[in-house]
Amino acid sequence: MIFASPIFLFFFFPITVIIYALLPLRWRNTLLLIASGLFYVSGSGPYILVIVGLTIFNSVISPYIIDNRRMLIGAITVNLIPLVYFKYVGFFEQIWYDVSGTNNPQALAVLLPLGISFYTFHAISYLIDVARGRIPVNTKVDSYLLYMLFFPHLIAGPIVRFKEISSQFGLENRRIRPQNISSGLQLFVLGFSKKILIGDQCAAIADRVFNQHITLSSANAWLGILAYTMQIYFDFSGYSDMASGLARIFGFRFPRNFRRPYSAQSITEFWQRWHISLSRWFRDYVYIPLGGNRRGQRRTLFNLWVIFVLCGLWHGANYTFLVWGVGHGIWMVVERLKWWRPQGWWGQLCTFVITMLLWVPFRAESLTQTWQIWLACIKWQTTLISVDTVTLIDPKRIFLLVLALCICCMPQRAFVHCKLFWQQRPFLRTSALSVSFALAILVLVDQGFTPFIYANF
Amino acid sequence: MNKYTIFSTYLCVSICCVLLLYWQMSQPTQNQFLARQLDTIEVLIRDIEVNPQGTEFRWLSDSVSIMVPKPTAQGIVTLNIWQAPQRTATAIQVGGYQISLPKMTALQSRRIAVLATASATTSTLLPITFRFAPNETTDPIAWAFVSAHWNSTLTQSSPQPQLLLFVIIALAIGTGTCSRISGRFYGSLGVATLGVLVALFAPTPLSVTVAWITDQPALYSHLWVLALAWLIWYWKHPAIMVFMHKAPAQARMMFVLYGTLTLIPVIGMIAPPESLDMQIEELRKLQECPSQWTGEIWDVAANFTPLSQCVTDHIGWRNTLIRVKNEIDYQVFGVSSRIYFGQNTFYFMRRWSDDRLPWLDEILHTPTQRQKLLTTLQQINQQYASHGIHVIMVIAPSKEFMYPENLPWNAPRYNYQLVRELEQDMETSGLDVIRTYDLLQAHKKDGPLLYHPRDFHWNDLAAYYVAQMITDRVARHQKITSPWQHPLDICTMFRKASDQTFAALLSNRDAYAPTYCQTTTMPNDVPWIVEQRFNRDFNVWRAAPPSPSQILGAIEINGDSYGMYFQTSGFERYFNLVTITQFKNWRDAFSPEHLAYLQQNNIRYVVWQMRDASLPLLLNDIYTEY
Repeated sequence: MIFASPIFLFFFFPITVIIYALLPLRWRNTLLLIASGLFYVSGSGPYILVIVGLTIFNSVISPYIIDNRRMLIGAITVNLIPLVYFKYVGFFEQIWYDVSGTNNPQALAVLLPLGISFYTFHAISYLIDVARGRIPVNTKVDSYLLYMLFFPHLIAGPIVRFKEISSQFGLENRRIRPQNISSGLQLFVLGFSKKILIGDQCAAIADRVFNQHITLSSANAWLGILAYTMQIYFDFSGYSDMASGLARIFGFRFPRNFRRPYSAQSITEFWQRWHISLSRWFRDYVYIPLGGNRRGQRRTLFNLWVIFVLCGLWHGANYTFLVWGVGHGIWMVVERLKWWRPQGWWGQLCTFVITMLLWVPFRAESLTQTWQIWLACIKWQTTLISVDTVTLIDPKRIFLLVLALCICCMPQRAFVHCKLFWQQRPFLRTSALSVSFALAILVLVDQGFTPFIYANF
Repeated sequence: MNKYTIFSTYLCVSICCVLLLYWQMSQPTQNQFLARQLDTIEVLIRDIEVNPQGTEFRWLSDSVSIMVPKPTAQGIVTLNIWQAPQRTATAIQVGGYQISLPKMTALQSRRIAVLATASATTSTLLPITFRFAPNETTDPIAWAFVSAHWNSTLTQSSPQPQLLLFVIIALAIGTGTCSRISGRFYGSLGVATLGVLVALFAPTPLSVTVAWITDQPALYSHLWVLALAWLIWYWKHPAIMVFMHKAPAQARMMFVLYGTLTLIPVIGMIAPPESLDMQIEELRKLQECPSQWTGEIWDVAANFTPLSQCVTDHIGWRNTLIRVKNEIDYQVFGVSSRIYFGQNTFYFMRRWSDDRLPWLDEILHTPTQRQKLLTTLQQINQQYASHGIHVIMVIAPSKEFMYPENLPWNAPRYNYQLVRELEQDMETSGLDVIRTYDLLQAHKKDGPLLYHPRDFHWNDLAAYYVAQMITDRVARHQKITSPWQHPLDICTMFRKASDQTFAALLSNRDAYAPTYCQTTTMPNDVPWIVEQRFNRDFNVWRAAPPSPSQILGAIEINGDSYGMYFQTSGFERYFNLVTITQFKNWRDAFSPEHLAYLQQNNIRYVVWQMRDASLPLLLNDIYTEY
């Protein structure tokens, strides 16, 4: 089940909220646990046993890992086994055949359990925090299970730490507060509209280019990349908004996951604004333990590079994701060495273009396609436009693409003014959200729902 | 009452409501079929529409009969009527029942459900007769589209248990609501009893209004009343009361907004608004709701997916919501995700322009693919030639090629030159090809339109010219002068505009559009009959004169929907036998049964007609076979 599907919007979510409101306070956490279980089972069936198994294992092992490095490494390894098996065995097998030059008889095809990358990171962050004494050992299995299974962040984050959420399990937080419902619904509607009205419309352009339904001329390639750049942001940030909104309705607060990433003036800044919860996780649980920037410049650069290789692989077991991660890693190194670091609007433009080009391997089916699209982008003289370029220039989609571009790239000062304008006019804001929600429902009913991009990871 | 009592009451009433709904949906009363069952039958109607026995009728009399499988027990006949402006159906007779039809606006689509029982006759078919008003037009040709479906049912049950359940629920909700407001239980019970009596024995304004809005019968509309009462009662829940009193205005607004936008589709799904939610053409079969668990007990995801898709496809007011969305797209941006709105009232389906024609273009641009296509066409020719049959290839050009000047600015334009080069290659390799594009271009310059402006097919005129060319070609092969002599007699008619229908705008305006036709009704003309052979998945239209005196022998046209237009060209006058066959899978054209049929009927000429946009499919369907 995904948030943007009619069965969730019209049935699962309202019914859960109604029952939640009717139940006494002490039963509400249990209800959320049951609802989360149903939510997960509907998408991944028996794979829920993997989460439950990890939860039980971590609950049992957590008292023994404090100040015990070996136990901690062992526990982390156990937590990584499902992720490696389901996500990377096929990839490693592919690498082996590629390196050895033999033919791959049949790649191991294993169905990926939903959200495995996310809940594995949740579990690891809990173990490390316990081991380092940042949080006490949790004695309530149901709280920990709810932390792992809580349906708003289960499929695609944000990656929340147990420390941040454990204090919110208290019954006082389960009270229905009008302000929570109001702001939660607004966030949810905003995210839903971002996903359906802009993300999916941009996807229609991007898919035509990346699914090779169109001639790969320069104009088509750039338009396709731009559309995907907007699609992935509005899709993923829309999902994060919906997740935060849902959590807020139930009295939880999630950390912010995006801060206008395309307005960044460098790749370093981009990663401080894009998928913040993931960047933070890698920083705290990989980069700093590797030595961070305390062991000299070479080690710092190496650490940075390693982080982005891992980040690429975390997104998907494919060479294309590796290229994407390595690309970002290289740019981070370049910026750290101060070889290239433009400022101001020029910096923003350069960063935006680099980010766009690096989204190509992220979306492409293969490295060959990545190369073809990159080549098409620079072959201006020979194939600027093709006969089918006009099929991409659908007035509605181009309007929404330009609108998305304006929202993402407008100067910070103008953005702050806009934000203030809407904050000071709650009725106008609510009315605008109402209209966009109604429009999004119309589009959803007509075109159906498409899965969130990050739900595949 | 303490909170546990309140909660228990809520729970009981909820369960009762669900039970009542379930009861309503599972019991085959007349009301139910009018209110609920039609929606599930709709999917089945689509199946029937491709059945040759119920697809299209052309009639010249005041009544027409169709036969549908007769029920073995009691059941419902559902009919879908779409009538052209030339005719108005006034009554319908199903078995022994005769029903007067309400006045219908011309071009209005309507579905009718009739409760019927098995008659005493032993026939396995049930006759359904439509009676029409006298001719309201001088145009002798009238088209209408009728499909019928039989749905067997269980024995009708007594309504008493439903009534009892309704009384209990209404009393519970009424008493609960009033006592919560007034704080007096017995007074509330009295008021609720009075309300229930009024609801049962007098048409209350509310139930009448709701019945009028939803077009649902009275008992079913009571559910709406109950839902409303339930909502009011629920509104008084302490949590909601606190929220509504303490929440800031925008919070209340969001709450009401989300509640409303969520409730409308849900209620619409439970009680489909049949009469208001105008159906749309999907070009696909909607997902049926799963009725039973499939696979192992842990296959939850596999069972949940069809359920989720079913909810997506059957959400309440879905058709209206889609129409509203399309209308907004059209009014604000002048575009549609389904069709291109072209110049001079021309419409073009996007699935052709955006997907199929680029595919064709890519194949013709790729030498290896192009050679494969040519080889496939040669293989088709060889297959028939080995049985002594001569093949004439006809590639029907798409409207996008014939009238590119009417394409909108944002639609892709492709050059037909590549197809012409393919035709050239076909001729060079020894195939017999009719250069359809050149032929029609010659007639297009100073003549009337050769294609329907709002449908992707060519019209009777184009089919006439191509049929004449086919006849000439066959005559040339027989070394005789072409017998073709009847002139083109142009008429005008309204035709269902498939592109417009597919656009699914809010209003169904221009669903029928004027177009040109060819008048073929002559005193001695032979009728076309629909024949289903071999119990296979294809349709055959067959015309044979009473005496085999014609000079050109027998011919078969293996074609797509364009081939159906040859029926009006009048070329059956020059052949002993003409069959028009529409295969769903081209491989069936070479099946032993079909080849035997050709031999038995002494068919020596086969016209292999296909649309240019279908050439890529041919490559997929046939090439891999060899």
